[in-house]
Parts: sequence; structure tokens; C-alpha cells
Amino acid sequence: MFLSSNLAVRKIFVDGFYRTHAGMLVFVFVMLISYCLFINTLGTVMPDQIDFWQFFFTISLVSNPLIMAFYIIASSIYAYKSLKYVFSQLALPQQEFLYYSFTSCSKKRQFIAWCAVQMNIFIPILCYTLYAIVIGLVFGYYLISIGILVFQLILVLGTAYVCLKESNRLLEANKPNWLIRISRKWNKPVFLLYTFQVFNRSKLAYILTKMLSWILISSIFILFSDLEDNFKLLMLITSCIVMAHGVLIYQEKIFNCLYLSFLPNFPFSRAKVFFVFCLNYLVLLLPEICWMFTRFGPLTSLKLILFAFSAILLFRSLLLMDRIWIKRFLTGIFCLFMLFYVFIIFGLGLGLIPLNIIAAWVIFHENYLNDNCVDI
Amino acid sequence: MLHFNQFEKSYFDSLVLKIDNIKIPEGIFWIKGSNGTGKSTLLKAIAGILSFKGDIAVGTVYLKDHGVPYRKLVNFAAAEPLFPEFLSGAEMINLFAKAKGAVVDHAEILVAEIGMTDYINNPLGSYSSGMLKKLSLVLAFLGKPKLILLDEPLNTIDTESLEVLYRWIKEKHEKEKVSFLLSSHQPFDSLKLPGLRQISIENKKLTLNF
Repeated sequence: MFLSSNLAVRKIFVDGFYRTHAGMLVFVFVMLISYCLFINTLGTVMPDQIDFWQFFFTISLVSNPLIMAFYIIASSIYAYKSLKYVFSQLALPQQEFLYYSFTSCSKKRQFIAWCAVQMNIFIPILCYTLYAIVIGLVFGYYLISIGILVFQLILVLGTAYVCLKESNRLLEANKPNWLIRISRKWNKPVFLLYTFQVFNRSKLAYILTKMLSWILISSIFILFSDLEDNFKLLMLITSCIVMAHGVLIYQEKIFNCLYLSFLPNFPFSRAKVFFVFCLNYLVLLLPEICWMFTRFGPLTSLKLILFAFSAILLFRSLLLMDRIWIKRFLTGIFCLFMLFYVFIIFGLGLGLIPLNIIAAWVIFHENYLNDNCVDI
Repeated sequence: MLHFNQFEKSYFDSLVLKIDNIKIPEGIFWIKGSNGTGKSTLLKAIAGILSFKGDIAVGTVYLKDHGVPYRKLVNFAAAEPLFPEFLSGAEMINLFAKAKGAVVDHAEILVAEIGMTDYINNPLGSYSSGMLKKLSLVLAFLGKPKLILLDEPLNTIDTESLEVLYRWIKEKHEKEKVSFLLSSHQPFDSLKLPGLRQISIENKKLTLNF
């Protein structure tokens, strides 16, 4: 029984962790590290210099306390991600059986199972640590090499212990957050429910979206510092802002499917449903809208906001098409972004506003009652 | 009362249900069918939630031509209702009452009768599946519908609430001539629902057993 529950735990948490974080792991461990080790440099670099720079990063890790500190912080962030994933899985209804099956094993056995889970999750980090330790030991940096390994083993044991405590904790009802508590007396319009959901359950996604939005805005301003108030540049920035909100737009679709499935039974006209749901984005985009108004004046801002909303309408309508997955959606909006870019570069940016709205309306009208989130 | 005109429902080119031309009179109907025969699909299509080929009308109001007035006439309660967990039961009632043109006093009576008064102001995240089911039943009785669709109404509710539900259905039908389509695996109590008629779904077809 212990072995089979071990297998189930491994499948749920380890396989799931790698599936969920595949993108991040590929980026960090393949792209970044291969970039450090195998990139062809511009200009003439002697082979011995290449060897030197290839080993410099790794040796610094086991010789320089500052680099070691960065690595330890990175490991701790990885441990936090791992814990966050395990907790999110434990909170799912389909994993509830663990609370009355796996937890009937002895605490010692559970701890061993959690250690195995965390060891498996830490494999990418541990592999790189072992590689660094081998180099460290060869070059005589014993203390930091062993220190890093010990720290990571403590992380594994610590996270396993936290998982053990969490899985044996009695479940409590989720306490609603402050916004929901203070808004208890407010009349919540059905069209703004997603905004409440974002501030109740998707705060991290919202903060990350805002960060991405500001990074994109700053990057474009840095890249085109000589064209600060050029309207084409501002339209490009606006399309970047809308792109950054792609995940929130996708999550709105999931929310509507799960919790507002009764909505098509409401006596609302299609035009009302098409336009009024965008009020959510008036709230979610409030920081960007305020920034536009204070920086570029009302007329320019109004044009930019109209463009942003036309693009949001189009992106939302795309999601009504048959069983659209996040990967297909992101690819779709990226292609549209490239199309927007071409229109903007040729000075046809404002023409995108009616085009987007018409395309969005046609797609919405044809797919309003699509079955892409309902089972028999 | 309910008129199907060349109704066809498919999932990914696989036909689930085909109803050529059927008129269902006023009454209380039990839709019978084994798992996966398309009972929920049929109710969701009648509720105006799912797309389909052909058309459906309540009286002379066709869904595809007059979507808004049609939806005022048809209320629906899902088999396993899910609502935003940050809303309270009272907020859901206000939301439905506003959309369906219901009087809030009526909702208060329904809430009291089904025994939800104590927790109606609590967030839905704290509700059990039975409490959510009772809420969805209350929501289905709001407004002035001509047809109420209840998907698996017997699931998860307690016996006291079941008695109340039977009474609501009977009174609503007798006093306001509201028709009901009830889908269920379990048989209904025909003593509590006199005049209950059966409709079967077999081989992707609807058969009126009366």
C-alpha cells in the first residue's frame, strides 16, 4: 500500500511539477546554461579563453561567497515554487483522497515519501550542484562546495517536513480576502464578477501581469528613446500592454465557464454581453489608463484606450472558438500582435479599432453558444 | 408549450440528439435516460446555454429569434451547480432576481421555506454541495418563467428540502401554469407530483410516453 501510494504521490506532485514548470525549467536549465557554456562569441577569442569563461561561472559558484549567495537564493526560490505547487495540488478536490489514505501511513513513512518527492523535484538543481561540487573539489574549494550541498539537502528535508505538516493539517475553509470582506455590502454587477475573482484568487497573476506590462513599456521606451511621443510607438506599447494581459483574458474564459455557466440563460442581449463584460478590463487596466491620461493627454489616451479595448474584444472572442487551449490562444494572439505591428508601422494603427471590433463581433456572434466548456 | 423544430445537437460531428418536430404540452415531465444519453445536454439547449441546429420555442417565442424574451420564460438549475465562491447566497439571489425580473420578497419566502436563512449571507465558498443545490433550486424559481428545467433535482438535497421542492413544483404548476422538465435517474414520487408524465431519451431520440 505504501509503495502504491508513494507512486501516486510521485505522479501527482513530481510529474505534475515538471509538466507545469516545463517552460521555466527549459528556459533556465537549457537555454541559460547552454548560453553560458556553448555560445559562440563575437570576434576572435582564443580557445583557452573560451575554456576559462566556460569554467568561470561554475568556479565562481564554489569560490565566490557572493555568487554562492545568489545560488542559494535561487535554490530557495525553487524550493518555494516547489512548496507552492504541492500546496496548490493538495487544495484541489481531486487530491482530497490523500488526506484520508496516504496520511494513514506512519509519519516516518510519510516523511520518507515527501523526501523522495522533494528529491525528485530538486533533481535539476542537485545535478548542477553536483557538477559545481566536482569542479570545486578538483580546484580545492572544499568548504563552499560541501556547504552548498548541505544547504540544499536541508532545503529538501525542510520542504518535505512542511509538506508532511500541511498534508496532516485539518482542512479549514478559505478565508475571503480583505476586498471581498469589505465589498460584502456592495452590489456586485454580474459583468464585474471577474474583477472580484482576480482580486480574490488571481492576485499573483495580476501582479505578474502588471510587472510584465511595465517591463514592456520601459523596454520600448529605452529601445526607442528618441521617439518618446510618437503615436506609432504609443500604439505599439498599447498592443504590448494588451498582450501582457493575455493570461488574464484566458483566465476570464475559464472563470466564465466554471462559475458563470448560467449566464447564457440570462435574458441579456448579445450586444450587451459582447460589450459590457469589457468593463472588467476598465478596472484591471486602470493603472495603465491613468498613466496614459497623465502622460499623453485625453485625446491621444482615448485613441489608445479604444485600440486596447478593440484588441481585448478580439482576444476574448477568439476564446469562444472550439476548445481553444492556452498554447493555441497565446500563439493566436502573438500572430495578431505581429499583424498589429505591421498595421502600426504603416500608419494604419487607428484602422485596427473598427477592424478588431468587427472581427470580434463576427467571431462572437458565430460562437456565442459554443460547447467548448460543457460536457454531456 | 414547448416546440422543437428540426432540433439537432452534435458534439464534434457526433450526433447526440435529434428531435424532428415535437410539441410538448403544459405539464410536469420526467425526462428518463441512462448516463450519457444527453439529458443534461437537452436541458441546457432548451435553457439557451448550448448551441444546436434547428429551433426551440416556448409558446410562440422562439429562442433564436427572440433570445432575450425567451430566456425570461425559461429558468434552469444545473445538476452540479458551481457559483463564484466570493459571492454570498443573498448576492446570487439579487443577481438572478434582477436578471429574471423577480421580486426580492418572493426570494425571501423561498429561502425561508427551504431552510437557508441561517447561512444565506455567508460566502458560497463555505457552502456544501447540498447547500449549493438548494440555492440553485431557489434561483430556478425566481421571476415569472413559463418553463423550469431542473437537472437532477433529487441529487444531494435532504428529505425535508425534497418535500419543499415537491410542493413548490406542484403549487407553481397548479397556480401559475408553469411547466417543468425534470431529469433524474431516480424515480419521482408520483403521489407528490400528480399528473407527472414521462419522456424517454433512447437511441438519440425523444419519445413521449403519454
